[in-house]
Amino acid sequence: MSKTILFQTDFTLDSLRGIKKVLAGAADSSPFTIILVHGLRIDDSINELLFFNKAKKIEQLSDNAFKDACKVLTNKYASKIESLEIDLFTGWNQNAFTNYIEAKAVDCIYVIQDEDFKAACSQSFNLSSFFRKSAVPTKVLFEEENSMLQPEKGKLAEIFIL
Amino acid sequence: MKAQTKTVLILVTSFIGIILFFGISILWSVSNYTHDDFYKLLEIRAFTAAKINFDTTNSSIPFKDLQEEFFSKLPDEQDYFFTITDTNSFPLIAHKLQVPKQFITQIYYNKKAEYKRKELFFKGILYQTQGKSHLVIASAINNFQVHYYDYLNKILINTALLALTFSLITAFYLSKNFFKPLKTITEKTKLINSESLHLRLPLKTEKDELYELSFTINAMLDRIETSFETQNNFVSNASHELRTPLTAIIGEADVALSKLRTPEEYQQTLQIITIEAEKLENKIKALLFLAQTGFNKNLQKFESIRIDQLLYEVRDNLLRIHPELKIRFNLDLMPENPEKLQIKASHQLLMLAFSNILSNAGKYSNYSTVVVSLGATEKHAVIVIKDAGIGIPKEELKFIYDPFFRASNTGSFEGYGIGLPLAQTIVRMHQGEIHVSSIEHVGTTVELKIPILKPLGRS
Repeated sequence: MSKTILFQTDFTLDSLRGIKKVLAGAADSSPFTIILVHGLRIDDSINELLFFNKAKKIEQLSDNAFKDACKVLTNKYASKIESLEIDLFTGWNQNAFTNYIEAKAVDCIYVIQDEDFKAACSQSFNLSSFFRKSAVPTKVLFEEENSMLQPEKGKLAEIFIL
Repeated sequence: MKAQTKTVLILVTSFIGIILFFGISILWSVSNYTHDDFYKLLEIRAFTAAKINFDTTNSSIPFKDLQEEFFSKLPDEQDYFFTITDTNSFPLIAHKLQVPKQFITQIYYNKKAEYKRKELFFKGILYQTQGKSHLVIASAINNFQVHYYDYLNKILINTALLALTFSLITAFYLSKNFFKPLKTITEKTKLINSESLHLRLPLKTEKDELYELSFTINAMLDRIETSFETQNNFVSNASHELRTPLTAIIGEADVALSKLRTPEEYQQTLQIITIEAEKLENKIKALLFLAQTGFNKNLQKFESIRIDQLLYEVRDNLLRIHPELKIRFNLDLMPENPEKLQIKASHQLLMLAFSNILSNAGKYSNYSTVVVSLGATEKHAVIVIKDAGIGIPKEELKFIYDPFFRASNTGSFEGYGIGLPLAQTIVRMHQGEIHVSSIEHVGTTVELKIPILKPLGRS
């Protein structure tokens, strides 16, 4: 039986730290289904309602380095990862989030302590308040702040150093 | 002129086709309609005439009035009445009216028939009254057919020809206008050669396909010019680099020969000359190799290699030459499936490239630890070499692949400036990518991506 876990992402490689930590710490248990969710507010305009395309939006927001980094992780933990999915959450209240969690059958949400929220675009919003109030157990991961300057920040190489 | 004439021909033929179709369908449908109309008219006439003729009862009188009041006089109108006694009389009747026999038989068997001889229309009906059958045939000349149809025909032909002339002119004008900018581009591009590489095509304001063509050609010229300049720089840099040790050798020799010296002084001079000569030899070897690898791709043997094993080999080799080198392998993100580390490569070339990069990483960080990480994406094997060395100044990052370029902060370190350009050429030969990111005084990270031998499906 695979376990479904949820992480918030802002399409930077920083946000993949959590996955590394969880998967490295997991014993040889059942494979994980990982969902990377990003909060996005969408317009009420007719244009937006008719022509909103999740896949295209995700393609816009993620760059090659991020996609490659996800691939590297999937290859590394091939037996532990059942699937890695990037999704957008476009609701705006707790109920909507609860429905989302139920639909995706999420077992656990992971949050990195003291992680600053970086908006990927002007419509992004922070999901941490929803995480806290949701019924699904939220586990906090402790991560040391990496204050060192990194020449490879933003590139694929970052995932190796994190 | 070929494409131009082709467009003109296509346009003109399609115009002709459309106009012909237009004209013919108008003529045909109009004439069909008027024929049917006229036959209907004749049918009513025939019926009325029959009624008047054969029905000698009172009810026929209103018909006569009807006929006189409403039926206009048709040109050459003629009514024929035949009482049918036997079918043998048909050919006679036909001959008398100068109509085909089928017409008469058709009237008898189908109850009505139509026939037309030029503009003379015949309509026959079978009228049965008082137990007897009569053939009633009404005939008249179709006025429309005579006057208006021909006129319509003439008008259509004339306007068709006129429209054709106009379309010819338009087609010619259009194609000329369209192809003119293409001709301009061809003319301008002819002027560009190796001496005048700085010339560029003029760009119009409207961003259409021709603008894109000119824009793309200009971009291509930019790239060509840059590579030309790089080649020129290479030659001048190389000759400068080679001249420096030669100058030192000649200088030393001249000074030593200027007056009588002690044997020790001569020994010293000869030692310096030997060192400089070796430097020269190394530079020339590197140069030859660089030039060779750039062009003789086919000479190298490409085989299936495990990238992690290759890297271990490089480390072991380097440690023999530089035992103070500290290399740590980070296998955190190595793919579970070792097939993802199998690449198609030339063993000798990749060893050379990685040796250069790793020795650089160690050298410029005063031999502090160099971290080598391995991973795999869907199609590439990823190798990351990170050092905590002197870094590369931001403004100089774009020059690092220029042969013999040495950054401004490399003063105290030995080097010829060949390592990275060589590595880049080699990586390119393997269809890979190389990216260098660096912060001055913090360190440098080199990221290489090399295509996997058999990119597997989604795992």
